[in-house]
Amino acid sequence: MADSGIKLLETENLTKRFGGLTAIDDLSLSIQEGEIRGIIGPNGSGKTTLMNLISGLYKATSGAIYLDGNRIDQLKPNVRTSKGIIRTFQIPKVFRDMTVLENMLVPALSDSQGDRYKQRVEIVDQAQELLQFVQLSHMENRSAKTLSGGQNQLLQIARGFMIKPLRIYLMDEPFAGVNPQIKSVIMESIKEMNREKGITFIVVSHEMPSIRRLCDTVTVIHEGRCIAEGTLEKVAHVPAVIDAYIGG
Amino acid sequence: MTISGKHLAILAGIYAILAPIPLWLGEYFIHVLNISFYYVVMAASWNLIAGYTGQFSLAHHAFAAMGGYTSALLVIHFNIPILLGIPLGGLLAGAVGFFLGTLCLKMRALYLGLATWAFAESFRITLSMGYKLTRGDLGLSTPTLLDTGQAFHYYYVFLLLAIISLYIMYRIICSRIGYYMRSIRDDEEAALSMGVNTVKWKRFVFVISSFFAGIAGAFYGHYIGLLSPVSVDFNEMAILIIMVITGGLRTFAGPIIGAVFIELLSEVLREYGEIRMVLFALMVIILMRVNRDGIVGLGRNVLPKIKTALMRNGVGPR
Repeated sequence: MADSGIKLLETENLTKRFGGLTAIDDLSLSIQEGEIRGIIGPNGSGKTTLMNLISGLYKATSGAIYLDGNRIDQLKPNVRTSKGIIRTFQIPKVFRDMTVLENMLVPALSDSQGDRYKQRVEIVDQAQELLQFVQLSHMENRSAKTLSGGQNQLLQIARGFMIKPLRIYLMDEPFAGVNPQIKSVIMESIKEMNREKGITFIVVSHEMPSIRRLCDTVTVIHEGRCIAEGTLEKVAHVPAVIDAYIGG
Repeated sequence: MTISGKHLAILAGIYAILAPIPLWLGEYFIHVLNISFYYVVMAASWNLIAGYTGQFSLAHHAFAAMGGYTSALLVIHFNIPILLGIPLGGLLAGAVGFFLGTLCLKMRALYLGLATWAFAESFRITLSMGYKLTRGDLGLSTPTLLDTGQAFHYYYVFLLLAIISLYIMYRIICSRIGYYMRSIRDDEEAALSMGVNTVKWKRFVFVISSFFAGIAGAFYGHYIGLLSPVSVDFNEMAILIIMVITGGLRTFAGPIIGAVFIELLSEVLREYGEIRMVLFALMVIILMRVNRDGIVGLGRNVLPKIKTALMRNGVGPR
């Protein structure tokens, strides 16, 4: 699904400082509804901090975040989830002592969902459908701690799709450390959910081939600032980006 | 919370099975069973907070004493009925659990353990020093719930207390709250990101587990007839931990099995005095090394093997 031209998420002069370190520096971003936006940048450039700020795990030092024009940066993470913002983590965070199916049920049963799901059976059906979608249905009754790293990544991605309504999916390095087969499942999941359900994705990744295949627009972050924005081919020729990656 | 007919029938069945037991036992063993039921409630409610939610509180025994002292003092000084004092004791313990839970919201693992232990120690010292109100280390004589001192009659009180408390805890664990608790235990940040209001549910578990401890402590006080700061000694907390770990932390049946097993074993080993604690500690170390899921885990691992062996030898169903 191409972006609709409607601004869904905006950050305005967003800044995050940790003591003397400025991780995000006066960053203003605008994400359109239905877009798959890539966020790239060298290690330590502030990509994960940006994810943490949008999802609410960090509080901004200054600046604002808007969803549909409404300010959300004062809201707690679970309230942001209820507004349709969900995320994955670079190192998959699954509920290790719960089964794969139980992992899927947590977001649907959470406070954020209220009565959006009418019955428990509807939740289980939806969870099983999604597990089939990410090819984990044969493991639904196994404990999550028995899964491989790649399967954990698939599980945390599928788990996020349980949230209703899902507006923006923040993915932090979804392709890191996963085998090509799982990478392809993740790619297809993102594309299909974007195409069929109009979900907006913000994908942080170092995997340039995957970013090229998924994203029309990428934002390059360096030292907490946006140094370029556009297609991957376009930003690859921006001198500041070349400097950031190879040192200048 | 509604009780279905099926659940009611199961509870009645459990009661019917356990009710005749004292008919075959002497007064002393009935007393041991009564104390076992008290520990079942204590261990199961601590398992809610430590096993299911991952909040390693070391103040559970203090909440029991708080419930006991609150009820006893209200009955003694305000002449309220004991059956009103007991829930009030539970409520006060729950309220204090709320404040302690709020103070400890951001603490994890060792820090939470230390903070809650410090709270329990402070409470114990306060009880010792508040002689005018609590009679300090001399102990507070508490009115007993029943006119008779016979353990036989109290057996049914403690049996009902254990059945009702366990049923409520079971319903909590099986409900969506149980999912929140387990998700918080496994990864609090992920739970928060999945829409779970972790602050609210951590507080809730602190309140509910403290409430059950307070209720159990109040019943205990009105059964034994004496409360003293010794009940807030760390040994009491250690016994609870030993019970839960021996039975199986994070399992529903574990604390029940562990509490009865350790209490009975404790009585068998009574003549050896404090050396019992050394034996229990050794048992916990071995269990942690060999089988972290306790007796329940052992059963889960061993029973299928026995079944397979029996079937291989032509015994049992084919």
